[in-house]
Amino acid sequence: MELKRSRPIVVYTAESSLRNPQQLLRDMVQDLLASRELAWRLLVRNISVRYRQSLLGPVWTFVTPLATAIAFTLLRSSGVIEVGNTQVPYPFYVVVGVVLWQLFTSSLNLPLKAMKSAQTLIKTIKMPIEAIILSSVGELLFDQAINFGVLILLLVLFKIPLTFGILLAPFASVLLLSLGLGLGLGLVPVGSLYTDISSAIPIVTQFWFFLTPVIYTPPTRFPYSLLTHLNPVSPLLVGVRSLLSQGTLDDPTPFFIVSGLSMLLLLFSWVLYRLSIPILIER
Amino acid sequence: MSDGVMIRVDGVSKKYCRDLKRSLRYGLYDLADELLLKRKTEVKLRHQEFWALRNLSFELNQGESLGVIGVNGSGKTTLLKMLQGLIKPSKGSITVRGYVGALISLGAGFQPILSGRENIYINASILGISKRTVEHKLSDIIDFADIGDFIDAPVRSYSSGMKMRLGFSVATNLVEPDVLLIDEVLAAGDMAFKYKCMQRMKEIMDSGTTVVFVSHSIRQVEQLCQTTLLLNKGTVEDLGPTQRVCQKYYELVNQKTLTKEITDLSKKPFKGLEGQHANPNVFEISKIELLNTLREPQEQFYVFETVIIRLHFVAHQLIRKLIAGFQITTVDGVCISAFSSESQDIHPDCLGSGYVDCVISKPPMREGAYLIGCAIWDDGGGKLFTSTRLAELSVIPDQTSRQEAGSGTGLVYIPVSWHFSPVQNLQ
Repeated sequence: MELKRSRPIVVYTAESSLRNPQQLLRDMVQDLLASRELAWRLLVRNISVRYRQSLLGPVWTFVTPLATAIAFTLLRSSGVIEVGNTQVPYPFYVVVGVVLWQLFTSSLNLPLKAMKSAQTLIKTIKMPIEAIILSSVGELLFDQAINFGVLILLLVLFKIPLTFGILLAPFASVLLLSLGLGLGLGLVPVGSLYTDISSAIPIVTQFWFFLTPVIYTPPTRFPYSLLTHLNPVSPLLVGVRSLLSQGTLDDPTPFFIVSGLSMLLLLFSWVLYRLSIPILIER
Repeated sequence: MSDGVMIRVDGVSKKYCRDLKRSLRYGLYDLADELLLKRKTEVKLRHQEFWALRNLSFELNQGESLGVIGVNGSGKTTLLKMLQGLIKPSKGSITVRGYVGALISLGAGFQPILSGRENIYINASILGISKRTVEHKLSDIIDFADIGDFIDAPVRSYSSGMKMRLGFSVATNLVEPDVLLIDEVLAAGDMAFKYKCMQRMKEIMDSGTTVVFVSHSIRQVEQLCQTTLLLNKGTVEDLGPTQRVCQKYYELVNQKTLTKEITDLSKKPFKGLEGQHANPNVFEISKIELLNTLREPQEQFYVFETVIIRLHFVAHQLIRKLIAGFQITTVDGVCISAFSSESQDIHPDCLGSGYVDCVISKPPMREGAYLIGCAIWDDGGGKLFTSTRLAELSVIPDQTSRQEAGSGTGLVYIPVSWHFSPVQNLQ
């Protein structure tokens, strides 16, 4: 016989769990803690499954940023596009931009994708649903770690001076992840019901890509500067990039404002996500 | 909730929507209601919605086991899902005490590429069990699953039975839940393993776990549960002692499958009924009757009362060496006995209308409903007519059979007598 467990009493009613916010928050924290082990298992499972059937393994993670960088460098040097002057070599500028942009889009797509792949599991077994998201986040961070490793290698290759800011960059990029995750989680309720959302996301993100200073420098002239002021991804992406390449934040105010808002958004979306799960399982 | 009560279901209803598009829309409305904290005082059905479960109430104490039976779509799985907390009731409340385990869709979450051993860990963590506990019990799990060297092979090379074995083993050896929900889990798996599983489930029940057991196998429910809930189209048809409720279930199933008309085939041609003529222009069954020893039609028979099956036929052409065979099965298809006239070397040539009587002396079936199936062959072994549900045989208890056989359980009464050789009185 195992340890004598205390026997918690659970009550299920039709009432919204928002009516009892304290209990809701307690449940959220509890489930988050409870999902750690499961999330870790799922993470290990997913990564080992991913590489068990792959010869090149982690190499694939870095293919897109590299290819994009090469393409845009060629376009720029042939004079097809004009992107402004960058403080670091342009190829590096693009690689960092694309890596960070990918981090954002992946985290935006992540909740819906994770929900879809775990569909049967969620529908049949009661478990802390946070684990599904958490393990995917873990997977994303795993890729991100590889990317950062390569980025540092590139820093050395391009003879860009290494600063302490580099140490902060991974943490700052987590903010970018929370922004994407917050948006993505918020899309889960509608996106799990209607496939239109998943169809729209790639189109929207592609458009968004060109509205974000990924491959060009942030415009300063009005009205183009609005791009950077109204686009929540810009301050975070530009911030992390300048941390990596220069060691400082160029424009800290918007960076911190967006960071704070991202965190709030994430919390709100998480609540929404939890509330929606029983309804989604039903459909 | 008072101390011994483990599950309390109080006036629970659940509605679903028939139409997918509409159901998606309702999903959004429901979510908006949740966010806006709308109080659901009165729950009404919206367009295209129906009650999957309606006004269900029961209580289960510690160590009790409840069987849940009912035809497909009666709301059994919906009930389990609500007990698990996967979906919310539309009305009413469910209170569950303690850790809830579930033997539902075993092996869900098995990753086909990984080995059985790796999957044990993953499955366990889905069930919320720590790695330490798994390591402690790993050998028990592998022993119980008994799949040999396959434990280190990828799960995609497993047969469905092996997957079930491993899933069942993981689910039952790791957790000692306070409440266990079981949903039709023993579908796959060979006889020996099914037996092993039943034993294991009994063990779990004996250890004081409260069990809710959903099954179509009435025999399993009878074996495992004291109380049974019969659901029909979302409403409670009956809740009480298993034997009574199961009886009611048989009656319910029979109402659906057998109509009185079947016993009198002359009124209605065979078309659409559950019998197949090879060629009605050659040979035709016109009527089946169940008679007592006075050759009078009778609807119900006592246990051990002789039954005569009279089958009327019309042979439009000369049929050489006609052979008749009957079988008696339970409503869920277990054959109690099958017999044919061939075994007694009786095979007359027939032409024109006539009948065949089959006298079943002292049939030992216990009280309940049974089905009579039939097959007719000719000389060459060609089937002229077949049916698995030609008539219903209703057996009712009587005093003498009870006294003769005692009140044991099982499919049939076997008359027994007792004799003890003299025992020493130690006082």
